[in-house]
Amino acid sequence: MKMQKLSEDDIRAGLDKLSRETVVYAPMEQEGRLDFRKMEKGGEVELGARKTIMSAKKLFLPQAEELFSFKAGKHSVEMIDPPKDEEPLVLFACRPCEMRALEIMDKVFNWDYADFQWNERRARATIIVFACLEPLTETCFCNSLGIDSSRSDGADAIIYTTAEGFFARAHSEKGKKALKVFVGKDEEAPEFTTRDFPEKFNTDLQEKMMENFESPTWKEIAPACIGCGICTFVCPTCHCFDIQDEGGRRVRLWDYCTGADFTLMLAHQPRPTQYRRYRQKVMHKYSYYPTRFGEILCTGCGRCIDQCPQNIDFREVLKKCNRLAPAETGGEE
Amino acid sequence: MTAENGNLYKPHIVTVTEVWEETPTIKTFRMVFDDPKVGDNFTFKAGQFGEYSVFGEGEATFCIANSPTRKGYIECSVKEVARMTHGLHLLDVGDKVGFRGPYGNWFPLEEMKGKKLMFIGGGIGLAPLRSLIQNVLDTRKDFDQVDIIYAARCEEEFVYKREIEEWKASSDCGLCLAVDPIPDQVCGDDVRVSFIPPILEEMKPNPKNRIVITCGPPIMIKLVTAKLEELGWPAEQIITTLEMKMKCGLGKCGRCNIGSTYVCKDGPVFTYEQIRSFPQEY
Repeated sequence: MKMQKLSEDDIRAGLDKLSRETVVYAPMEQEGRLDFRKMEKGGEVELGARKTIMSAKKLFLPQAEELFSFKAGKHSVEMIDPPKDEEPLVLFACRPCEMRALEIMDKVFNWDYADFQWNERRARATIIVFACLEPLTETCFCNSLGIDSSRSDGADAIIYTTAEGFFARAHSEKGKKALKVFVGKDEEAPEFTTRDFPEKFNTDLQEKMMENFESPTWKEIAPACIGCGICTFVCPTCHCFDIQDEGGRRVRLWDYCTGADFTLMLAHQPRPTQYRRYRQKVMHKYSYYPTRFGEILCTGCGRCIDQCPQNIDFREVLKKCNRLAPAETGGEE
Repeated sequence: MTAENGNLYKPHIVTVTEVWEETPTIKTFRMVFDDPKVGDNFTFKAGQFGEYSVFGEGEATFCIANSPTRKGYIECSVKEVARMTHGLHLLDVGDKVGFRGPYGNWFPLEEMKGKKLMFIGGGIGLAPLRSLIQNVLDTRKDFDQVDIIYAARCEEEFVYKREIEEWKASSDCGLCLAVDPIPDQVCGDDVRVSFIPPILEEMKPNPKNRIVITCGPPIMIKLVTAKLEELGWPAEQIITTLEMKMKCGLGKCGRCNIGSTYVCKDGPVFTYEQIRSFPQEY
């Protein structure tokens, strides 16, 4: 197949041009942290096989987002829409798992009420994915989630990294338009296939978990969890949120189900212990969301493993879940 | 009902037109939509809820406590517990509140027609039942016998005291009031000192052509449903409304999930048969 062949210089020069036309977010390192940041110069972008600390989720579901602001007097309230980001945005060099995460979350944000803020951001973004022919880090396990990271059909364009340079291909009109800023000739590209991914394990746990909801094994799944929530914040698919008033603004904020406040009511706590909250996290991803939306709410990006302060390895969690067995006596303590 | 620009999180403005104290910590607020067009088009069904906001203090979930048959306003009854509810309790007639809704499902009123109804409420759990009770009493001829059992910790904790007096005086419904058997309990002659299950044990309500609608503290709901089952009640004839923590009311924020169920969308009204199939986490 013919693809647009690009050198590193072609890419950096193209990004310079692109950033003059539109807002570009790309992986960039600042103070030792690689994250998706607003790009000024193509030279700053990380083009290598490295994983950002945070996922690209924040561009579509910001960590703190103004829903509206208000001026409330004693007998009057004026509500003001937040300034609109109408500029198109290019998300450059995210990975196939990030693209999958957005497709998975499209379902919850549209299954009944359509979430205006999410859809608007999705519509204005052009997403250029870098394929992962090899895992980015040792903690990647997207192949166990059925992701073939040599492709990303939902992305607007895909770029492959080879020893001889880069090969780019558009999947959509938006992608074609974005790739136009890069010079480079069409050349026959090699076959791209993934290699060196870890051995796959079973992630179809939807029914097994439901059948074993009461299993005492849940207490042994992640006893070290302290409910700090970092796994949720770095996760590309965790989307639970809070709504609060801050000053004169109503804001939507990321929230996390492993925290005790998540379900705490006046005189009632449906999930009073940490293992129950951890079970919620795992089952939301691998049982409830699949039941509801037909997709596992996880892409195997491994960020939760990379960042857990308690060294909880989510792959091990899932492997333990594969061994869940019914309670012998039944019932929870 | 969504705001015009598609921003689902932007509420309608309502004005408090009446406030009254139910108990030392619970007040009821009557509110009217500022935009008459919104008010005129506003419809809801008994059992639905809304997201109410005090600007600057935040948003919280409460049922709509009045009946859709009593038009032109909405009411909510709120216990003062934290920031938002404290802010709400400070409000007076003329003050502004945000309202999004109605959200969620509702009590199956049509299926209840021609049947005997037994309402079992505990504490502020009477609020969602009140919407349906008012609805049923306003269209009384559509239903067979109606009974209300209501319990609270003590008489002072009874909500809707004005309506309780009306129910007492009315021949439209039977009424049984009860207070918890705690030491030094003082109450009127017409109030039982008992938890609800022993009352049910005594009454032995016949499930034939009858539906129980119950709401109250989780422990009360659990004990009431257990007692009814013991008395031979099929789980599908016991209806309750679940109070889970909610934020969006739109099936997005993930707070109210019980298993794969979104209480805000699939509920809050469920039969006990449905609830039994949930992971036991409510």
